[in-house]
Amino acid sequence: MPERSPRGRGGPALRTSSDTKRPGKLRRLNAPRKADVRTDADGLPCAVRRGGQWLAVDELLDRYRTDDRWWTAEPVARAYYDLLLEDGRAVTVFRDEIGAGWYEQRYG
Amino acid sequence: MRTACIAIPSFAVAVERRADARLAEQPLIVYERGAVIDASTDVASARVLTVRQAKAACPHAVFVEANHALYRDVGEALLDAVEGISPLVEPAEAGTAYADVLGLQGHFDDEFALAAALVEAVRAATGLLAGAGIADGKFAASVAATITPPGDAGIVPAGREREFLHDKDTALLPFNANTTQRLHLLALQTLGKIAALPKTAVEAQFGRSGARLWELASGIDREPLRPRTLQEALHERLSFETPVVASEAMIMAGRQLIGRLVRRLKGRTARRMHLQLLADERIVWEKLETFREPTGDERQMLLILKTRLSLLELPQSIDTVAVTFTGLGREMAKQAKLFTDTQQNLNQIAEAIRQLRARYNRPMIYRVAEVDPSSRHPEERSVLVPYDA
Repeated sequence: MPERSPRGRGGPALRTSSDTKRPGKLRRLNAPRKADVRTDADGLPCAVRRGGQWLAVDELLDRYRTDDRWWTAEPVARAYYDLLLEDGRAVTVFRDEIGAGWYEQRYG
Repeated sequence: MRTACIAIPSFAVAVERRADARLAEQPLIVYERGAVIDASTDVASARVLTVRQAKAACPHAVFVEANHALYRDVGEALLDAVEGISPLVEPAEAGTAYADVLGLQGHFDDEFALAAALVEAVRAATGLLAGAGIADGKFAASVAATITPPGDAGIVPAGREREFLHDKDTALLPFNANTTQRLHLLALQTLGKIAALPKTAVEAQFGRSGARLWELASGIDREPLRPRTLQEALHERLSFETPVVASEAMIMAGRQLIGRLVRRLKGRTARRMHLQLLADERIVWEKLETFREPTGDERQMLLILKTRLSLLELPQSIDTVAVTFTGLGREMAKQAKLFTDTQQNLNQIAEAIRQLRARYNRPMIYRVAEVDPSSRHPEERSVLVPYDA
């Protein structure tokens, strides 16, 4: 289920591919997927679960924020982290600052 | 991890002196684009100056323009020499290399003999004296190499890195000048003073880099050795009997070189083409071209060469043109079309899609349609729509 905004502004805090996965309808590409992320004392990601296994974050490559549509009933606020995992893979995750969940962002 | 650091002090000065014996006894300053990049120890204060300042402060010194082509060659010879002893060698700044020496001790009487072998290998390959340091971790090894006189070796027994680093200057830390300045403002002049603090206090003051700073000062170095991977390269050069300034001559030479290199590719492709124009072995101009996709197409390469050289205005004549291909591929990487777009094919595809939809009662083939390509959120940029919608 998509997360709902705790602020009660109406509408889902984050839409995922499941929102639009209906036959004959448009389907989003690169929809964020829910992710299991462990954080350290500073709230920074320190491990990500991939394929049932927790992988430590080897390096935080970059971090940035996006705040968008704050003037609407469905604002978007995300804290992105580009991570290098211990198995050498690079992933981008973000914390949904409104719905409070972690998601993996894919790029096609 | 047992690591050796091999460093040639004042690398640029050492290479210039090797190339011209007349410079051996003279104060020497190497510069590039108005900035001093290296200076001999007798004029070491010039290392932080501009050329204009250095000329005023050291009027008796000899000024030589940096010759990066030569430094690169000597640096490669150093890495090759160290690789003759350890298979895992990481290139660091010019004239410095790290080597994984774990397990090599059995081949030598002790680590001093191992370090001596490294120094001798570098001397034989480059004619230059390096200092060597061996310790657990790259940082302690580099400090040991830095404080050791050229030709000698500094060995830090395993587990005693913290003790060894205790009285060393914080300027040796691999952080920028701003961090070093802040450390000095906090009266943290030695690594021992940083190690004596709680790790959290250093993190609070220096943020994310604080943890690494404290660990290095405490002799904990988690940074892995990143060995270089050998890249196959094809290189050709052509020298003129007399120096030239006309771009036509350079293009003619480049055409010959590219022709030779494409023949040497033997059907493979190259990802990058490095063009160099030299005078007396010094780079006058160079350009690294990365092709949009790997290619072995001589015409495409020649077009790039002509475009680059025809409008070039050089400050001096040159005597050599050199071309190098890197990123060599095993096969042509040109992606062929999945379908040839003749009307008959398109009709067949449309019919197949229609049958799939009828069979599964829902669209099975989609195409990508852009919705908001400039959106900051990737999932809003494009959507999949049924192919036959």
